Amino acid sequence: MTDTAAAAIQVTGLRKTFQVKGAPIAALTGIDLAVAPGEIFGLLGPNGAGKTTTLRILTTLLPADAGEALVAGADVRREPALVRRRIGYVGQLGGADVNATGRENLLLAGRLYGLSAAGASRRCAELLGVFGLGDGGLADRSVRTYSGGQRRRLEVALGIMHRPGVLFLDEPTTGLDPQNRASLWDQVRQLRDGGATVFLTTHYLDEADQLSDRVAIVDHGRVIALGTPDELKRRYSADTISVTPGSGAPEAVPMLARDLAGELAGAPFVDRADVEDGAIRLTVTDTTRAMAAVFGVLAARGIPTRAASVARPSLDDVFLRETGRSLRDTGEDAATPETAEVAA
Amino acid sequence: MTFALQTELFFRRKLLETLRQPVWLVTGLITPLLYLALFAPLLRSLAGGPAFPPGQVLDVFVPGVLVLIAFGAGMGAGWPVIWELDSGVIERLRVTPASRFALLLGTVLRDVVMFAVPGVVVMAIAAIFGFHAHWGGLVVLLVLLALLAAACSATSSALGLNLKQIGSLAAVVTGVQLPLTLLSGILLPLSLGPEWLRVLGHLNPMYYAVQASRSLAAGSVLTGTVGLGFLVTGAAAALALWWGTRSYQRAMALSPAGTVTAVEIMTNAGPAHVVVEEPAGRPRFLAVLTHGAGGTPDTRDVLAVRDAARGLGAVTALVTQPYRVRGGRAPGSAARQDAAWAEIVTALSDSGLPLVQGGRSNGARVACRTARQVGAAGVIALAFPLHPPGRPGQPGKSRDAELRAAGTRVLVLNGDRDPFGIPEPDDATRVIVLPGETHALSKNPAAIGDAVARWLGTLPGIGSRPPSVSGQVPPR
Repeated sequence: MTDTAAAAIQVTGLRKTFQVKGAPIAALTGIDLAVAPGEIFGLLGPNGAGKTTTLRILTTLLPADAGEALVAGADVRREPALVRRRIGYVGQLGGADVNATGRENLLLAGRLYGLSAAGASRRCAELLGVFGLGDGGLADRSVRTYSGGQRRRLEVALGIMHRPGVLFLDEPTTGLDPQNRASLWDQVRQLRDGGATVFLTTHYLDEADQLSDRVAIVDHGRVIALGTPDELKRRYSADTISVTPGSGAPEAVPMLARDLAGELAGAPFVDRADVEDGAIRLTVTDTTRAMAAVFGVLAARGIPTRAASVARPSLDDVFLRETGRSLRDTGEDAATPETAEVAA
Repeated sequence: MTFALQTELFFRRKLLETLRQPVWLVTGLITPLLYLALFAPLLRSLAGGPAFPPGQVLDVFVPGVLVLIAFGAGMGAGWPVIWELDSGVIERLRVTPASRFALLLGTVLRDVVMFAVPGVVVMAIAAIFGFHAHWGGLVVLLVLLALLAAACSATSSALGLNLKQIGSLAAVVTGVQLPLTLLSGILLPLSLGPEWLRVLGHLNPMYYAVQASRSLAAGSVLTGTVGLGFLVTGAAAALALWWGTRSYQRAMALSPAGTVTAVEIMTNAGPAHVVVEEPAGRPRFLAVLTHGAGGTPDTRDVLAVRDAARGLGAVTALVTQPYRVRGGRAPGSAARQDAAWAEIVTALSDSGLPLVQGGRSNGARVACRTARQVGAAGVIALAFPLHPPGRPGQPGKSRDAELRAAGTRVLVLNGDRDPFGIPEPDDATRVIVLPGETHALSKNPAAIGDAVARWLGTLPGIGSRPPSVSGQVPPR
């Protein structure tokens, strides 16, 4: 998909180990990925998966222990100064100076990247307009007075003052309300449409799914899946059916569900049968036939159905398939563990 | 883009920042003036003594006050640096082509100005009250003390960038400030003191700046004392600027919630996955938590315990045990499971912090069974499965013995609708029954967090907070 020579970001065998309380702890255990020019590339994973570490290495903030990283045509280890000139970076912490005004922040950034005073001032006016920060004297107020959304927009503007070819965004929409989130997504898409490559990290499934052209899912410091969101969902997952049987005694439901799951697991259109929170969860290849079979089994035993639903696959299913864990912090593991425990 | 332009940009940014907070300008001037007004009169009675030639009390005292201004102007630099680190400003600037030395120099030059302005004002006012100003010497004096202010400023920035926390910086700066000023003879010449005090003074780099200042204020420029003052102060400034630049090259913020790292720990039963979260401050204990049979360690009850522990300053570790990493749903032999658990906890607890371990359901059983072996200070048992569901009272089947044999303090949290049973109040140090909860303990994580936080507070070595460093008001 991406030609090595033309890639905006090319990462091979990236490794990083931290010393935590004197003990070596592997943060990255070998990251490989390539990002094509002009695409939005999302790095998705749970907290601690190595997203921010990867980003910090690619932006020259942190040295890697091993591996190669080419960013915007320059080697991160050997030519960090060149990389810094060619990239923009919006960190998780933001980085706007709240003691200065929005305009002062932008002008300083522009001049640091070598724009002339007049050039910086022109670009500043342009970006204030694009990011909706130009009205009502906002640009000349202290950033301390900005709302969360305004501040985030300023921080993205700071990252693109010098029109970088590659822009890095670390958890760009964390803490934003849905409206500001949507408008930031739009702006990121416009940057991409203007020819920039965008590399972002996120722990939001929908951000990876809807905003990114391609996604790498990371866990425990390595890439466990890579592709377009649609490809990944098709490759790794299918529809899931979830059915909760009814019963007189609530504590009997987990046992019942387990029995039923066992009975259905053998069917040709069922990929996998699990029990989750008193519900039978089936990963299926033929949704209609599977649904009919479930109701058939229940009816044959005279068990009423309390709830039933069909879910299309999400990136979380991809993650679940690869790791046995969920990216969502739902924490409903109620029935499964204990039924297993009784069996043990 | 030249280095000079970058330096100028950073200097202007810092100067503007200071000018927007005029309160520092005022205190920067008032402190030295108070010394002149309230302390100098005490010295008059010493006039004519060995260190104070008659009529020249201010001539001895004013140079010392000027050194104090230079020191104070420089040492305040670290506080805003920590703030800039926390808000990501430094990280952002580190990804621009800006020189790290220019970044440091912007602050250093601002602090030199913040010394020079009050310094000149103090000289002028002192001159009115009888300070014999030798103007040629004073110009050289300003240069010397500008070097001192620069050395202090760069040192303070470097300290801020490395310590990363206001409390630690305050402790170090206050700890150093007093011996450094007292042993330099700033207020009274060290020549008044005994031999041992003078010897100690010679080990203090600031002593040479003070000696040179007195010589310069008296108009003697080309003396050995002045030369030595410039040599020592210049060397200190060079060293501090090097250290400050190096610190900027590596500066990295502590993330607000501390750092999260996923690790793999090898045991005889295969690898375990562990998510370690370190607090932003100094950790006070280690909390190792795990899942139930077939589960994951990110259930609401376990996360509530983790958050409570984190709130009390714990390093937390969420463990996915080897049999789960392999994909197994049942833990298998208890002996094998316990051995693997002990290996994991031992690998995590080499820091010598007090250990609290816990888990839900089957994880609670492991935590109880191994508590004695790993030396846990406490065990948190969530949804302890007293018996298989719906089958209470089978003789010899109850697992209350595991609770009782833990050999340490045990907190049990079970739901009142748990089909696996509810331990009796005397099975553990404390048994809390949560109304409306089932075996999942998923309905009210806040109640779990509260109960755990309160209980952890009663544990020896965790509950009794060490005296905290009293936060010093930033000097700027």
